[in-house]
Amino acid sequence: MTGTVGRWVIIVDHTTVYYVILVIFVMALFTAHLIRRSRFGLALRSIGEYEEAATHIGINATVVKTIAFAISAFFMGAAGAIMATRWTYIDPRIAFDPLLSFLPVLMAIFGGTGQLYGPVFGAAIFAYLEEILTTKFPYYYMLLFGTILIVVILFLPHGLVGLVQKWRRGGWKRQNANP
Amino acid sequence: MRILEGEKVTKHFGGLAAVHQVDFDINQGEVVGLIGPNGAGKTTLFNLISGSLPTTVGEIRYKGKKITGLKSHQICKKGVARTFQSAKLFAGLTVLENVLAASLFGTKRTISVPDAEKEAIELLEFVELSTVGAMLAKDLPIASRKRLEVARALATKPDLLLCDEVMAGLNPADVAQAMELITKIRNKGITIFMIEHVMKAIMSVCDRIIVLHHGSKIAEGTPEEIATSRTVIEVYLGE
Repeated sequence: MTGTVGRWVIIVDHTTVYYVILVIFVMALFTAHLIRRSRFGLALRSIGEYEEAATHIGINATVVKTIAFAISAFFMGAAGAIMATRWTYIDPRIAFDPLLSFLPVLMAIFGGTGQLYGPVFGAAIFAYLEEILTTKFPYYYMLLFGTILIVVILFLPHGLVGLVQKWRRGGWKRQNANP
Repeated sequence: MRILEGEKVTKHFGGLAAVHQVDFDINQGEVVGLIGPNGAGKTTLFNLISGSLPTTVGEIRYKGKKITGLKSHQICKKGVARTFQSAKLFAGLTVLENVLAASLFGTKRTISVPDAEKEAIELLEFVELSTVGAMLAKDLPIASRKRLEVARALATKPDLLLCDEVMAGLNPADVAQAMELITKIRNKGITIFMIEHVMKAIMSVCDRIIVLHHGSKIAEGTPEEIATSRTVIEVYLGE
């Protein structure tokens, strides 16, 4: 024992990291797809719509939510394990960094929750935007990024996917045509 | 046979006794009405029976077994279903999915999705909503929402149905249809305990009526007895 909680990590080359992440990504999407179509997915959607009503039709909300949490944690953990190999040194404070924990949630909201491709779309644009802003505006990057996030969360509660759907249905004017 | 019994059922919210020492019993096959002025504790009593809220003191028994302390989903699986005053539907799900979820999870049995779907479709026919099964629940008009609430509750295969104001906010034609629905449910052999403000409906549908006022039971009897009871008239009309 070294007496520390941290670990030195063996470095893995980029190609391996890429393929492992790709496999995790495909597995996550496939799992999400299966859940959406399953009775477990229907229970989750019911809880999301109205938890009290869901418990009154026999759904054990606590158990269902715990399982959903465990499934999502599995993929987070798997992604984290491979990500750690790029960092050479890691300890709990880095692993449980709040920014890293909230980032995937922000990506999902940014893209649009409730749709399978929403978070995928969100993550892609999010990551691209982050790179552009850090290189083009290294001093104002955080400020710009924060502003964009606030605007999206305030004005696009259904994310970018929601915006596209709204636009496809015939623009802003019709949004309250059938409340 | 008694299907539901309450013994000194009490619920306090801090210093407020929302339901105070209420004794009641419901017999199998009966339609019992629960009336009282606003804030009398009617919905709170339903919340205690269905497990939405923990009971402060007292005991509720369903088919002779204590259900106080059980969770809502456990009480549902035992055969007690309820509807909500302000229709708490799964707004973003389709009408069929709303009922399907209840068919799948509402009972102790394990049922396949196609079988549950078949049952859900039958129930939509029963409440006359079969033509709008693919619509989102949030797009339904109010009368249909209330009927969907009833269908979803029935999908859990209850022996006792708690109806919280299924007729509130309906026009006279819809009220008549709702009364017909209550009779149809009763003919299925389901016991009904209903909160209602529409007096015409409650007087003609119920076998027995319980009156709550400030959380206490002030009267109980047949519709005729309640309609002529001095205490009830005083509470409603204020002397």
